[in-house]
Amino acid sequence: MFSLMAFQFFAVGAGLAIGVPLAIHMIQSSQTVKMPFSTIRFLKLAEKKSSRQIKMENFILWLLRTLLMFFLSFAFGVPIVRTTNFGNLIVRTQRNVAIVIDASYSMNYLVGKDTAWDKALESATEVINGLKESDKVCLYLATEDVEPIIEELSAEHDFIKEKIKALEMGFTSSQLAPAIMAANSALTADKRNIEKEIHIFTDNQALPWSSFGKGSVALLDGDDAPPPPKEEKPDKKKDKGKDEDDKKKGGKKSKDDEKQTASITGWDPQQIADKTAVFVTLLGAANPENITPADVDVQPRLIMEDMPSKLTVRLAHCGPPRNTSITVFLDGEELQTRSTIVGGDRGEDMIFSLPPLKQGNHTARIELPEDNLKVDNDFHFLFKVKESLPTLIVGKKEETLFLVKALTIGIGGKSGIRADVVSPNDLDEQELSEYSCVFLCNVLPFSGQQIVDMEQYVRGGGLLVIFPGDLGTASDYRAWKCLPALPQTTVDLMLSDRKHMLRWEKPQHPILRELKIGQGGAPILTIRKSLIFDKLEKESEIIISAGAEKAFLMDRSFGLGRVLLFNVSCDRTWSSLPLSPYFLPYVHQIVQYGAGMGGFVPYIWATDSLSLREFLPSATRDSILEDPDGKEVSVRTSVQEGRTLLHAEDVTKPGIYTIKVTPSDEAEPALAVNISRKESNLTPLDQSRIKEITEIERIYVANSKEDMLQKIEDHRLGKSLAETCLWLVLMIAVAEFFYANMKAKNTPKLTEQLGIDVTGEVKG
Amino acid sequence: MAGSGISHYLTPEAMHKLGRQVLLSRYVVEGNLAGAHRSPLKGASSEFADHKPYNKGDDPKHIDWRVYARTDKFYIKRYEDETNLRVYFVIDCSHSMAYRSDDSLPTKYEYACKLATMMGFCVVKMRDSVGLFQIADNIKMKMIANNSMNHLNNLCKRMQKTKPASNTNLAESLHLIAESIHKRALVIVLSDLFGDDEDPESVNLALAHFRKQMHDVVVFHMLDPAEIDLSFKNGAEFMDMETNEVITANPKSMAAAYHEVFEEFLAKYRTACKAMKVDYRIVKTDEPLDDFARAYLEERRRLQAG
Repeated sequence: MFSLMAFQFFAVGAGLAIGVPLAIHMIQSSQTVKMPFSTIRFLKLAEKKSSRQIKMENFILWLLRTLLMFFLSFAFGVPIVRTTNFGNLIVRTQRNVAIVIDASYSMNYLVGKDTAWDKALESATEVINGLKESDKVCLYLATEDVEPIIEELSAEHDFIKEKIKALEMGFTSSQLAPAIMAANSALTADKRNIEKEIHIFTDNQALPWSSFGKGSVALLDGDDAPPPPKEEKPDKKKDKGKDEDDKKKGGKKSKDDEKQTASITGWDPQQIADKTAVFVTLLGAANPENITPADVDVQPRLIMEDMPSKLTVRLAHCGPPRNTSITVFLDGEELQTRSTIVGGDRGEDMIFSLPPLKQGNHTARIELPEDNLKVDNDFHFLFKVKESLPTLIVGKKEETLFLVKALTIGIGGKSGIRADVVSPNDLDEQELSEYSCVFLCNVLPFSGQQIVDMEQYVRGGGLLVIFPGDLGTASDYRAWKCLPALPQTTVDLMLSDRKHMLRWEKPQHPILRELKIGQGGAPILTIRKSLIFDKLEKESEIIISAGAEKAFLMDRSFGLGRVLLFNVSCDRTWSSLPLSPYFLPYVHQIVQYGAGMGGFVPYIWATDSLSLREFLPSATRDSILEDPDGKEVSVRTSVQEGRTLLHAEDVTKPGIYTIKVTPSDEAEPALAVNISRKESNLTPLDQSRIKEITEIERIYVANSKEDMLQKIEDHRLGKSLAETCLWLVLMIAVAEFFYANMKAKNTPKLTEQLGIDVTGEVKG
Repeated sequence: MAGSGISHYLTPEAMHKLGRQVLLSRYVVEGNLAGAHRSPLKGASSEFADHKPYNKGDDPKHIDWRVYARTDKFYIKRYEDETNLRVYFVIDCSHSMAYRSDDSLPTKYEYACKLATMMGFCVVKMRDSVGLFQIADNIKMKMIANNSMNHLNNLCKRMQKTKPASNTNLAESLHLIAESIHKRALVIVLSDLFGDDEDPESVNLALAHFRKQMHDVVVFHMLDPAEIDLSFKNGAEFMDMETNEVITANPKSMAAAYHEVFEEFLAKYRTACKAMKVDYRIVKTDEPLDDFARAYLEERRRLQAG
């Protein structure tokens, strides 16, 4: 019925469009004034001459005016006329719709009154409102992984809308490619030949588009790339240390890398059917501004009681230069506030001096003023201030004598190192995780379990230092997996070969970096007996060599910890090392290296699963971990190789997490969790590249809900010809204007052509 | 303009300005009084004409003895006869002469009358004679030539009284006038030269008739500017003032064609008049008449002197 009426309207409109200008043209022609004229004989002759031309001109003018009216009526009066048939008047097909919403925390950016997230939910609801009852919908959230909300197509629109209403935004970043692929899989599950649409709601950020393929990887490269978190010197060791830090802070980097690789390989535009239309609605700000504390660094890493320290806050920034202030809170109290101008697209380091602190865990927070993205304005971290450095020395008393003496001697007779000496038999009773450094002095061979315990300790971030001795043979080392190199044999050196000059192969190694070679030159040792090593294992290096070739001290990264292996014993039976002036600084540096290296992490990035064995070694099954809101965090237990492993679930809420080791204990600060600052880089996406990145042909990009609805309508019903008609109207109007003006243009007067002079004579 | 007669057409200022202007014939004319114009007759004047062999009966006092001394033959010395000028104004008073495109402009007839009065005033002032023919489809009125101001005044009154009407039969009227003027005179035709489907050729033949009779002919082609340019802004139904025939036309769209046709029409007269040594002038009614008359008379005097 409606169709018929529409056609009637269309016919009447078209008839009027043609008829009205014709009538006006004709009426104008007939409404002429009678005018007496001296003679019409010349008019007759002129008319004879020009009648055909006049008729043609009139016809052209009439045609132009008719077309003008016709297209004008099309543009405004007949909006149902569209490029594809007559919209939904003739054909109405069923369609399946997949909705993908970006749930990264950058969606929290305020655009006007609402956040991009609010707008996304509203737009998604609008999409569902525009569907027929039989149309089916599925819903996915794009986070770092895909989170299916309505995994399979469903026609329960009200239920889906309720689900959308109840959605909560995450504290992670997001990748759109896996979510789109998942949404497409849900759509393709319905094999019917019906229309399919994927609706993506995201902000203008380039980051979620970086997982689509090689073209998209470069999205954040170049000038748009976020500033590196730290400008590190190209020092291999430091880089290693950084990697370790990253691993410590939730292992995000490697996880991201893996995920990125997986998603890049997972994105396959060929799987998206040609008939499937993809709508991308960018609801974020076009030119977002954001400043966030991206990283903190506390120096020295090993803070002892009553020792001042230095805090470096690195700010990440996008948008034009802006003034901001940074406030440091320590244990909940405001410590310092400083202002700075953050400009360009580079980060900026702000350095704060921290006062000496008492022993224990201290909570700290960096706070920036409120901006449009509030969620990343705070940065939480912990200080762990130690009274002394707990060091475990395993060995017999006479063999550890020099080592114990060296470690316990310090300035004013106080070294700050607590050296616990245990015999090899008592080793099993020790809780290794309490020690930052373990020395093994001629204690081999070890039992298998002891070796496993030691390796586990190293994996967890401990520093193991091995001094060989007469008790162990080369074969006793073969069961170890964490050694920098396996000893081949033990050799007794001839008297003539005993003098060895120590060479610092890695002077920038943390152990050697603080040491200076004295005026007497390089240290010379008398080595009577030593281990001869096989080739170096992977991730191993020689730090100090004895002479030109012999390895004296080797280092290997293993898990989160490290293993140092000397080729001489720590007593004076093998060498003069304990008697050399370098022994004391060596072992002190080793202990400090161990203490600073592992164990304590100032903060971690928000993660879904956190291994408590790595980050909270003191946690047990009975421990209670609470999030910043005081809610208990779910801890999952698993058994691996006979050991019980604890994993905290959903450690995503930023803030300070507390732990009660036993239910009766006081809650202590355990973890500082921050959301990954990768998402804080709001570098906008170049919209024109979306098609190129995704390689999807039928992709429509909208900048607002209204724009999206218009594009959906254009897609479903065909594009309205209004715009085309208006362009035609404009062109015809211009043509008519010029033609009519050309016609109306006064021909030169005959009197001027004749050149009649003042006496009436014709000169021309 | 108030008043009648000369005063209807000429103000005292205009008369004063015309005080020194003369209208001279370019050719010899035959008059009945001695005057400033050359006569075809040889007579008593100071201007030498030619020699003629002496015949019996010739006055011996005219024998040129110097020629006799050189040639030993008798020759009579002859002198130019000087006479007065007869000027006939032939004014078209057909209906088409009543046209004016704008109320601020005079009709062609009014303009022609005024022009004739100015010329006539100059002529009478020089003691020459003026006559008048009013023509339309035939000769409507004829006034013989006389050199009195009173005559000119009557002539003006007559012009003033006449209202343009009826159709035009210009050629025939001109032929009749040519027949009626026996002595060589200056004939000034003031007309728009629009006749009823009249071919310019026939009018040209009539003008040729004047020339054949050795008249000096001046044609003032009276035209309204709109007639030349067809400068109407909107389309209209144009009604012929003489035939009442109607044509609907859009002047803008047919202006070019009209110009072509009209130019052809003018060219025919222009070419023919040139060939016949007829002084052909286009007079536009939007031109100031005083300026035109003065300029024309001045030019004519200059050419005469040359």
